[in-house]
Amino acid sequence: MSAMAKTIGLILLMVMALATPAAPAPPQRVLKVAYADDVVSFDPDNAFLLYGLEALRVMYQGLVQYEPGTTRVTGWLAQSWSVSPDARTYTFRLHDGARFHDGSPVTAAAVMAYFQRRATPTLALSYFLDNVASMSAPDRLTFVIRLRSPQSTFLDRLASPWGPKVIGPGALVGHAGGDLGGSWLNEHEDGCGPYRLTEFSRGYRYVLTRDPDYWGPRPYFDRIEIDIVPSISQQMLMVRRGDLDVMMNGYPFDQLAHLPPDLRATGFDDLGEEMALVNPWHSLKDRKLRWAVLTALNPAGWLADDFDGYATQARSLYPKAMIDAPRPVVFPGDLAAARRIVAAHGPVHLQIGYGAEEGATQQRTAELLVSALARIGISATVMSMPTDQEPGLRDFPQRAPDLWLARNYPDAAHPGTQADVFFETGAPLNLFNYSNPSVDRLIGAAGQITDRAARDRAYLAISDALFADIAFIPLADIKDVIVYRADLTDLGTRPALPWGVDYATIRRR
Amino acid sequence: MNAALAAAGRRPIETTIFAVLALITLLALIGPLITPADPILRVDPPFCAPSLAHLFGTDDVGRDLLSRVIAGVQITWLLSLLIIALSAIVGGLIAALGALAGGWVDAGLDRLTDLFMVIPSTLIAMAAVAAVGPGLSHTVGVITVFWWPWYARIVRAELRSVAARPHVEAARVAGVGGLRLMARYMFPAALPTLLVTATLDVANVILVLSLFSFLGLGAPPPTPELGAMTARTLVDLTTHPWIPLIPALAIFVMVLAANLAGDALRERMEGL
Repeated sequence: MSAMAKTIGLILLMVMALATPAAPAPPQRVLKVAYADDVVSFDPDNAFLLYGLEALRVMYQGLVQYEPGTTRVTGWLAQSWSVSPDARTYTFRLHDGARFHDGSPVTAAAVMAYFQRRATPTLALSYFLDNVASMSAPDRLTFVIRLRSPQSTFLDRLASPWGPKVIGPGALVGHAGGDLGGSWLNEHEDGCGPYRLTEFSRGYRYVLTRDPDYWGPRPYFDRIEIDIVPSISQQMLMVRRGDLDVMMNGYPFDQLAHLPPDLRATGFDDLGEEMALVNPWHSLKDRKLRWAVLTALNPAGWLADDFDGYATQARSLYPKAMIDAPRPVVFPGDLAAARRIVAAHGPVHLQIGYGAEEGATQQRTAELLVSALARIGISATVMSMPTDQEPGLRDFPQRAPDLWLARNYPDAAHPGTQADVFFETGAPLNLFNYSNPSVDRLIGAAGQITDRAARDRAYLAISDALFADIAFIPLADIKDVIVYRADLTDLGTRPALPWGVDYATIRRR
Repeated sequence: MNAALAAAGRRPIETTIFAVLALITLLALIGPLITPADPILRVDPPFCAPSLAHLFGTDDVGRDLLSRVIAGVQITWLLSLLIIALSAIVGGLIAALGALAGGWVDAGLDRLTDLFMVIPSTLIAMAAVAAVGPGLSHTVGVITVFWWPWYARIVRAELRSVAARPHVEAARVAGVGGLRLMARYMFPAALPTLLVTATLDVANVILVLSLFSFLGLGAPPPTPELGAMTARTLVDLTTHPWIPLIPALAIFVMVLAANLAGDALRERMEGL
């Protein structure tokens, strides 16, 4: 063969090689989701996350967790546990073979070192362990916690999405700095979950990548890409266009019936009940007026056509997923009497406030309440404020809104966590400083009850007392709605995990 | 009467524009008397399509959209007129004071006017409303603070040109001075220009007011402000388009009518 022929042959081969389509790359298993707001910190001990909570729980793991779809506590890093007869000692037996992302094994000593960090009072979530008297690690896989006094909420606090999630020594020792690793942990992680945090671009995107050395079942997706998309309208367009696989909250209820065929919606009861907190410090000082307001706000009068079937009237001051009350609270129904009270009182103008984080739903609910109040002659306006400023209302109740619409999430599925956070005297989200010693006594007594049915009855009695005082008004159980591509399944939603799917179980069909 | 009708017949477009303007003003004045329902009250289920029962349908809360649009037109239109009136009065007084005093007072007021004109007024106004808190009175006050300089500048220019006219010179020679000269001979001559400017400006103020309410810087909900009504229901654009579009259309009609009326008025004035 001449040199010319060889050259031509070579050129032809090269052209053919270039023209032949490359073998298709195996489809990358990527799940695309979006948050409407940024994640302040991925430190599991120092941030009250709503966005990012579901990501945190696949980077880190705790001793126990809630089973998907229920509020039953099940093992996680702990394969079993036992409670001493005096209900003060909890002994956890850890899974063997679990490893942190720094490569070190998950041992009882490592878990104890982490729990000691978690109990540090300077960390925002240290109060989860404020009843812990001591901890020990008698052997490699046994971890023991001794409480100061029996605490019926303790196991639920450990299973809480904000509960302790074990951090490895790579962070606690290697990146301790002067703040227990806090600065490093804002944007990095050292957990033992099925995903690692491989990209943290604040305000823009986070990427989780499957950990090939994960000790448990291998999740379906290789990567979870989380973009920050503040506009709900834009998120809706993205999920309709296929640029997002899951929209975890904010899809307007009235549009769920108009989803395109390649999208599905699922609603589940979470622990966030819609309630109104009544401010008795200025316009609503008069109990008669509060009664009139209560009459007007009866959800039976405004809830039926809204939320497209994704909401039901609340039956007590506990979300349905926490206690499904056998008999609902009864609102007064005499609108004419309510009108007379308002007319006798003179002009009443109220302000209804809500936290901005769930803006669209809350504003609509607030405007429904304005309309309901107008029926008895009360005028009202609506205002929103950043959610993180809510606790500040306690300092200025005289200047705070008259009614505060809240869909706050308690720490865990135990009703004691609801009472401790919202209802008890001095509770952190008891925004209008409600205080009733007899209710406090009931809360204290209910916290000692271990039998579930008896416990629920005790907490329902507290709900009745609060409702009778017209201090808190239960309005609605509004479902958490997740819109997702139709080929996805095993979403793994949990009542105690607001706005989230389980990345460890979700997969394509 | 016949002469008026004949004049209207000669200028049918102008007549239509002024008729629309009169209708909007009438709607703004007597709106609460003719709304079919209370704009705050829920009257039927949400998202009812336009029908005989509700000509514009119901909104996302179940309120009658026609009633809310009429109330929104009232708020927007009357507030626009109020802002323009306040701005014209403040601007006109400052210009008149400068013209009367002359010298360093005039120069100082002119620099003050310049100062207000060179700052990005809409942005500053937004920041100011956000700082003091949303509310109709805050919005009106803040917009007026940034709106008067245009009127001061126009009136000042007009007064300077009027000052050189023979009848003003004659009045001055005859011993008329000070306030009387301003009120009797100078200011009336500047009034037509001020009127045309104000008419043309209505559309701008409507747009700024709508922008403020669109951004949540107007009256607190559930006040039926057209911009806020559009902004809040934009997510319904694909499924219930009438809810965000009808308030937007109302803004469009008001702006268009005000602009065309301003143009027509200016042409009339120039023809005189």
